[in-house]
Amino acid sequence: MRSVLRRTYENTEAVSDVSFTIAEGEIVGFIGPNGAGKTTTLKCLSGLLHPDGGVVRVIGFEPFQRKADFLSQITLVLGQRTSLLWDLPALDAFAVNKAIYRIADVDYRSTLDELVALLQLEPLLSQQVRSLSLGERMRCELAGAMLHRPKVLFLDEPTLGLDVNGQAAIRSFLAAYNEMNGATVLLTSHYMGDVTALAKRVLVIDNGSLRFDGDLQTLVHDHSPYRLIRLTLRSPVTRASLDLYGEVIEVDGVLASLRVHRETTTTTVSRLLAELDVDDVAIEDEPIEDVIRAVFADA
Amino acid sequence: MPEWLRSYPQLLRSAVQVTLTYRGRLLFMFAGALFPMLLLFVWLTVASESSTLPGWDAGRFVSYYLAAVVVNDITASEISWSFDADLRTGELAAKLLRPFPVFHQYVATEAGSRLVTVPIFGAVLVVLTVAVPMVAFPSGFASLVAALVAAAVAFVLAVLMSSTFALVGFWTTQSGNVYMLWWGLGAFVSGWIAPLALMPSWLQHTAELLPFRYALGFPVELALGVETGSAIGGFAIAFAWIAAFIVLYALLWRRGIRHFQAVSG
Repeated sequence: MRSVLRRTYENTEAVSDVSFTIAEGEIVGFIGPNGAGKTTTLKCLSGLLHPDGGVVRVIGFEPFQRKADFLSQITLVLGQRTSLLWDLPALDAFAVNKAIYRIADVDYRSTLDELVALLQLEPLLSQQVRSLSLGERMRCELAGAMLHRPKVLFLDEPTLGLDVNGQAAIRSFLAAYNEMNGATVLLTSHYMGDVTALAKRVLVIDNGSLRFDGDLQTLVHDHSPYRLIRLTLRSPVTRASLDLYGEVIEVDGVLASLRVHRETTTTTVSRLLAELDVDDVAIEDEPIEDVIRAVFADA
Repeated sequence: MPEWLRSYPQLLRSAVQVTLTYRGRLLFMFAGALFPMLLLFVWLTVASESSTLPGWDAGRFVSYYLAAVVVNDITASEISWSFDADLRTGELAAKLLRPFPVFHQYVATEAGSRLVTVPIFGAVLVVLTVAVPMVAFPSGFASLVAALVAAAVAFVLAVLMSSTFALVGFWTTQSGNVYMLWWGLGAFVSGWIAPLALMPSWLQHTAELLPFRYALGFPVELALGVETGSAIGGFAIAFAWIAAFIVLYALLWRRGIRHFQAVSG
């Protein structure tokens, strides 16, 4: 009741101290926890939000001015949000995009054919959008967003809520689109699989500030001093017998996982092979989710 | 001609398709459009029981409200509601990122739906005028043409008013209710509650200066030949309001878009 009569407002700084440059044709993963400022940054870059300070330039334009020349060269895909026409087939929404982006008939035909093949859209095009599954709709959504062959793609959780097949389809499409068109991609996703499959470079943001900007491998190396050794043995072992080699993550009959320091990985593996009856061994980095968690913890 | 203007026909086509998709909704819309008939029955009762309304017999009331139904279909703009919903669902973001003015995206949607409904309402009105002796628009050819032009002007003014009020949503994320209040207050001076010719002269003069009449009653008055004040003066005031709302829209847009929070995701 009090809030009806007397309201208090708090200003929250969504993003501050975020500086980066992305080269043409690069795919960059943009990661951070919920509320970190990823979407806000994408909205500033695409021209939806007017930043209170700082400089934003994308392909030579100031995004917030939303000049037609700028908008014709970018796309922003927001996961689970549709820019298709709910009551009409996707093909009708594509026709609207063709008109709005002034796409020539020849270009439209060839781009659409390409997108239909890459995203396997043929059976979906003439169905009402509202009758499509989430994954099908997302594929149509991406096609609609790419018809004008944007040079810059801002993708906010493009695989959100999709099953494994749906995620894989979108990842391979984005990789192919980037390769064929030399497009620049800035991608946010909570599925690290999206980022590891597509991006060599990552930006890590937390609390509106940039925590890391660099190579994905460097991120893993710097924030994960450990590696995982997965063992398949010929006969079952006890946890106590593995304690000598490193931190035992799990033991299940002949299967075991150990966490060891990056520097000692090689010598530990040599010892394991020499001293135990090992059938197979695999060395992995820690799951990227754990690494990211470590980045935020360090911050 | 701006580049984006060439995209208009396709947007209109899509809006027509969307309107035709919901046949059930169309039926409800036509049923809802008959609400003014309730007012008509009130005025028919008044006319039959009183002799203080010179020239306003049953036939004139019926003709007035039938024409008002058609004009109301043209000018009952839903832009402030659509904008309101788009703000809250985040759909506005998609509209903002298209190289096509947001204002015209909404106008094209409205105009497309009118392309479906106006011919139907118009045809019904013509049939009734021919078939029912009491329904008559005796003002003459020139006035009928003026009424058609005034109906087009009414559409422009109504979408501008609705679009301008929609922008209040940038600050409140609720704009439909504000527009409903504005339009509701205007009902007294638009010719909706009663033909302005029946109102006290001070209210007529007030109504002539306000925008509401030019978004509803003015074309009907011209068609019936019962306009208060001069027709040319009426058009001049309507165009002045159109200019005023264009300026107001531009100002609010410039300030509001900076305030835009791109809500919902």
